[in-house]
Amino acid sequence: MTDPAETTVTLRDLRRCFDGRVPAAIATANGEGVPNVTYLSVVHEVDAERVALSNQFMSKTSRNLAENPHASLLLIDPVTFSEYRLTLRYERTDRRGVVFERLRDDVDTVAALTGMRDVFRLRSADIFRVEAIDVIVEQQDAPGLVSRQQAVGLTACAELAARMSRCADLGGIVEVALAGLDDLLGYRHSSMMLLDEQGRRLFTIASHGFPAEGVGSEIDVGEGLAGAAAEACRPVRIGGLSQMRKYSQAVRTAYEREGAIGPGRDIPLPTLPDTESQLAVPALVRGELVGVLVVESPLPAAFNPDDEAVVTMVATLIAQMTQIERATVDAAEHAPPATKPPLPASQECVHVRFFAEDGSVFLDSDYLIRGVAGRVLWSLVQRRAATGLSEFAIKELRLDKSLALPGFRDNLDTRLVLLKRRLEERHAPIQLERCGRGRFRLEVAGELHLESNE
Amino acid sequence: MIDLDDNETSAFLHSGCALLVGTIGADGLPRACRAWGLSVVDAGSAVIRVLVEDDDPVTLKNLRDDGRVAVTATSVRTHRSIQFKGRVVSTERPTAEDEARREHYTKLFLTDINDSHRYSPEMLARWARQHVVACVVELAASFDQTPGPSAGSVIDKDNR
Repeated sequence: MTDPAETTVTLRDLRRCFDGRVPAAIATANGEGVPNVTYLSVVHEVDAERVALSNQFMSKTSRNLAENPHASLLLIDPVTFSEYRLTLRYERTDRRGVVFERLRDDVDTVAALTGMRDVFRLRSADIFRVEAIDVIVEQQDAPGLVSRQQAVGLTACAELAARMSRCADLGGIVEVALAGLDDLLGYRHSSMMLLDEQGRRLFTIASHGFPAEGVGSEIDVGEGLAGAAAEACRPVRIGGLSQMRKYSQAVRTAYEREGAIGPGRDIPLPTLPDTESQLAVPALVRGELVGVLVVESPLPAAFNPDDEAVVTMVATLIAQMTQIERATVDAAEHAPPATKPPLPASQECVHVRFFAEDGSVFLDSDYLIRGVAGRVLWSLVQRRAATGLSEFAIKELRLDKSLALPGFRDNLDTRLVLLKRRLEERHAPIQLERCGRGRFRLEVAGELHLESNE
Repeated sequence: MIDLDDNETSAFLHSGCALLVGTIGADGLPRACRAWGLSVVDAGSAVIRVLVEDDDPVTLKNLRDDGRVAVTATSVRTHRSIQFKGRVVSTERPTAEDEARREHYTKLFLTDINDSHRYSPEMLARWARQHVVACVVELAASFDQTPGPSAGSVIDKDNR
């Protein structure tokens, strides 16, 4: 055993062991000396001499610690597979404070993966003094197997900011940002979600590097990693998503067996089929949440605090430019209409079906979009069918009571960008084009046939 | 005590479950370490043979001197987990059969991790241990250690 005063290994050296990828194991014993050994979900470094262990259901471990304060902890470095044994002495239990909140954030993230935030909560954070650190096996970093260190220079960040600053509209800003994250900063897979009008859901406005675009997909704030980042307004990072999801699912199944929660609906998963690492950062402006920027990787432990800083910077730029774009659109709603004529219609019939309950729109028999964007499209095609007019101002839409837009921050411009991208993604016979500040044109390649269950 | 003769339980214990061993020293200090294979020797009398890694002299001393032991088997794929409490009957040098079991178990365990967590086989090979001590344990109790609200509850023959 090595005295911490003499050992060359410090808690700081073990930081990678605390990322949750390889579960830690703890042995305790009761007052009569009966040992107990189990896995832990979260271990945190508190300071140079202490660690904190999350306590969700460690009832036996907690009872043991009350009788015998000693514990033995096994940790594995998820990059090198070096293994360490820590000799611990229980000091106290925190139910509030900085350490508790840090552990609670981690537990909440696990809970968000399978929709258990209502039942799976941190009860307390047990604080231990580290009396010794034994190196069981020490391995060297393996080239190519270490976590991806983002070699980001300020020049690349500045270039991305410059590219974004040259964009004329929100769709362009997000598209350029995600493309720049890839070719300038090396984040191959990314998506941008924006907060909806009620501040309850996030919807995908653009994605990059995924097999399917997924524009328009929605999740509740609090669901999944992006939802957790939105709810807490802080970056959320996971380096071993498959491990975390399995742990979370095991807990959820146990709760379902107890009847505490019903069978869960599926939480939207990352759109990359083999995502191992995910980083979701809130896009904030003036302290207000605009959306969430998510980057993903199939590599385990791909992101670190440096990545958090870089992606946060890009998310902040997107948020600020989104707000500027919204303000600009609002100011320009009185601009004169553009004169570009609509595309000539083909002979085909474009069948649009609308379901008022949730604003779903189907083109022919294919689902297109729902919610506010669906209602907007329905309003536009009705107007087009009734009057033959194809151009419209955003302000006109704002006055359409059937859209039921909130008076404050209606996100309508964003919804139109989303709708435009969704129509493009589906190569739909209906397309939206910008034709001036605050104005759009609806182009229809055929005769509209409208059907609604209203 | 869980029925070790039960096919599903037996299959679980002989699979690539992650194996943890907890012991206690005369000084009252608990000790955690890992094991690299487990087999049911006699289901009727609840005796198992656990291949404990032999590079921790404290654990080996605890096993021999005190003998009280906890063994936890956890599925890498599902996190299902069972903890046994018992007492060491004997510690022995590994037989050829033990070595074959260790190799077989290591292959199953690392395959489970590779399939579940996508570590490269080269990295996982770093984790594997070559040297073990065979530890015969008479079990007295079993507990559900699967994470969740029932973690720590007793498992018996009627409550698997």
